[in-house]
Amino acid sequence: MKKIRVAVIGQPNVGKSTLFNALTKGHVIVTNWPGTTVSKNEGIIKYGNYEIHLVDLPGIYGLTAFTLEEKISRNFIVEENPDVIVVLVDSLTLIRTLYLALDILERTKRVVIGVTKVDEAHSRGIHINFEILEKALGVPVVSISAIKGIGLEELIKKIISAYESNIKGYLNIDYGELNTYIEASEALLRQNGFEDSSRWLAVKIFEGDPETLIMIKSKSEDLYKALMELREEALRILRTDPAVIVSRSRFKYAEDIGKSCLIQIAVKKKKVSKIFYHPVFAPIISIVIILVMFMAAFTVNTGFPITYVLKYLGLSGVSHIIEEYSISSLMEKFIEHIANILESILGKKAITLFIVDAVLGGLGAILLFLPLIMIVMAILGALEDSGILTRLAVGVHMLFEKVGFSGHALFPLSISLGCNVPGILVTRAVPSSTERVRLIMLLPFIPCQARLVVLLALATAVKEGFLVLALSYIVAFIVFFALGYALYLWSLKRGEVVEIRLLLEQPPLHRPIPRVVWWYTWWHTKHFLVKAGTIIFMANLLFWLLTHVSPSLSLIDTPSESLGALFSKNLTPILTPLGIVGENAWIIVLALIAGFLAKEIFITTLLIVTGAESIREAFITIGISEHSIITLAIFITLYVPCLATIATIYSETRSYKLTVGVVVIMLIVAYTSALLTNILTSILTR
Amino acid sequence: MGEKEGLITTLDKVSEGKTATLISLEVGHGLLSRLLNMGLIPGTKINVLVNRGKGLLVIRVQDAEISISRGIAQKLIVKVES
Repeated sequence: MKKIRVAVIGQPNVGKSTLFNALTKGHVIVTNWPGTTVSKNEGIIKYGNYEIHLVDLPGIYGLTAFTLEEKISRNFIVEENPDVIVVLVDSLTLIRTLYLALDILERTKRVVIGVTKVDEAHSRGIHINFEILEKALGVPVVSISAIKGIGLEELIKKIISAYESNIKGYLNIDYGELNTYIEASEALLRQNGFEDSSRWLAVKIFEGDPETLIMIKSKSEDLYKALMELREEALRILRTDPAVIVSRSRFKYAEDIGKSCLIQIAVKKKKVSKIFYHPVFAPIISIVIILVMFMAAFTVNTGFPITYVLKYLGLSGVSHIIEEYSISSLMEKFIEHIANILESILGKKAITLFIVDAVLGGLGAILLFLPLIMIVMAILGALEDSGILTRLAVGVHMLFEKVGFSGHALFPLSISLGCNVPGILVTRAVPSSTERVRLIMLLPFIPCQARLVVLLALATAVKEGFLVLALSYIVAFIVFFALGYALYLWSLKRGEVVEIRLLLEQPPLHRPIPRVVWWYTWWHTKHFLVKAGTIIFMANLLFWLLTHVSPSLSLIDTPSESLGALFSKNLTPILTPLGIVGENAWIIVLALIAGFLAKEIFITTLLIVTGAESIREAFITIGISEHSIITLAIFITLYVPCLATIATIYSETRSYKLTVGVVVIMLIVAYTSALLTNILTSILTR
Repeated sequence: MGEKEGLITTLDKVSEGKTATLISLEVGHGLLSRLLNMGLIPGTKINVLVNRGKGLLVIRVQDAEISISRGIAQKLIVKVES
């Protein structure tokens, strides 16, 4: 078996993930790029005597690296030196997407070009002469339609022959007036030991690629200075930013290739769907679509909020059925069933308790979220594939602008309603770094599904359950936008924020393709299972131990004497101003600590420690009033979401200060809001 | 915004339905690199698809539909074509 390492790269929207999935048939290993939380997808294909390892690189517009995604792709190509690079270009926008291919070809010719969406190109009157294109680029070209399965095998064959023929050399692009400067830099680089890819490095210097500049500076300060002088000279004499000249020449080159191989018969150009940009309708449509999407997902998962609406209409029978057969309730029954079987086999021993509560409980907690994540991802997948998602971002941009956010905040926000962890991860696409930091800091206030589950349980213990739920969500969003606006104003005052920026390519609108949506859904779900799953599972395990180990470190089954209980009893006075008092108030403290690890353990802790059957009963045992439960709901909505989120904030910002800051801010905001709620509810219920 | 042909202005001043040629980009390095790579290069024709005088703009560049906030558009110097 010969192993071939292949990188797959392309501009955003060229159909890279679709092709990657079609090639690997979904057998993908997901890991992280070293030192980042950007996920790395790898797939292995066996073909004849070859084992082809495909690495999916983040979609980027060019190799000059300013963002995290660009850095990853650039460094993989430059440092890992893959055997073959597959560069995808879009047949619908050939000239523009060729740009990235040229950038890579200037470095190496170990490239196979994949021209995607050829099935669609025909219907748009686009005809490409692949032979001419192949000749012009000097590397193999394959026409592909991932959806129809066209060209996949040929692509694999061409990868193998590119690997075997071991092509050397690179593409030489004419940079016109900049040529002399590039050649001078090239000579300087060669003299100083940069024999490999000296031409490409020289071009990157004039493009201002930060990674190249840092690399050269670290090797030789003098060389760096000499190169910078050349760059300055070029700028002075040509009176144009060299980066602009490089881009212009490269595009000119792409255009010339396009002229020789591309025939476009004028078919009626699709009109812009202006409705998505309408100042009044666009925000309304966007908000409605997002609301409907989450209502649907929530209802399938937990029955909420439809069940409450039905109850208010006097249809509690129907509402009960929906609740009974919602996925989360079915899951719960399934776990309970397995627990019973295990207990009857193993008997009631400590080890059984450990397996049932800690291990199975942890697995159950993960399974509970699985359907929801899948539903949300399927809907998001359909919206993304159809091209609607980026248009919704434009719609909400018009609203968000007023409070200091851009439309880019839409994706993190909606994903955070499912789970904060991926919500924080997708902030990477936000072009303004100050806006990104603001989002990372405030997204944890957005109630995720775990908090919804806890809030739903709390709602069963009060008369006006629905109002408590609605209030919690409203308070959370008010806090998010109010603090967001405050931070924005503060940044403005410090002169940090330039403006609220939006720069988004809008892919053509089309009907979502089920297969692509499924790939999207499955990929994200798998990702969630691996990432959040591990943390939820471990947190559950850890907490079980904390409530079942005594101060003398022996296993006990009376949680009230456990290490956790002892600790909580000392902290109880903190909750007194919130109206949570009494000799059993420590149970709430313990449950809140549990909720710090992972929100859903809040409920299980209450039930395990009080030995109650329902949450209502548990609260009666603890002895807190109805309005204290409302206070508690507000506190739970706003205080630190979970360990996984905090860990993600750290890994994304690499700042202890910011991470601790977020925790402190959340605790203060949660406490103040709860205090206010307590005061208000006591006045109202007096 | 009844701008005349050949007028040099910023992109945000070009009215809906008009075409302009990009002359220069007065933005910082990171944003410049992104805009260039997306095809917004001096000399490129920009088709203004949506411009309501406030809020964001929608433009067509090299066959791509791009939404762009007014702040960025104000930094793009263009020559109005037709």
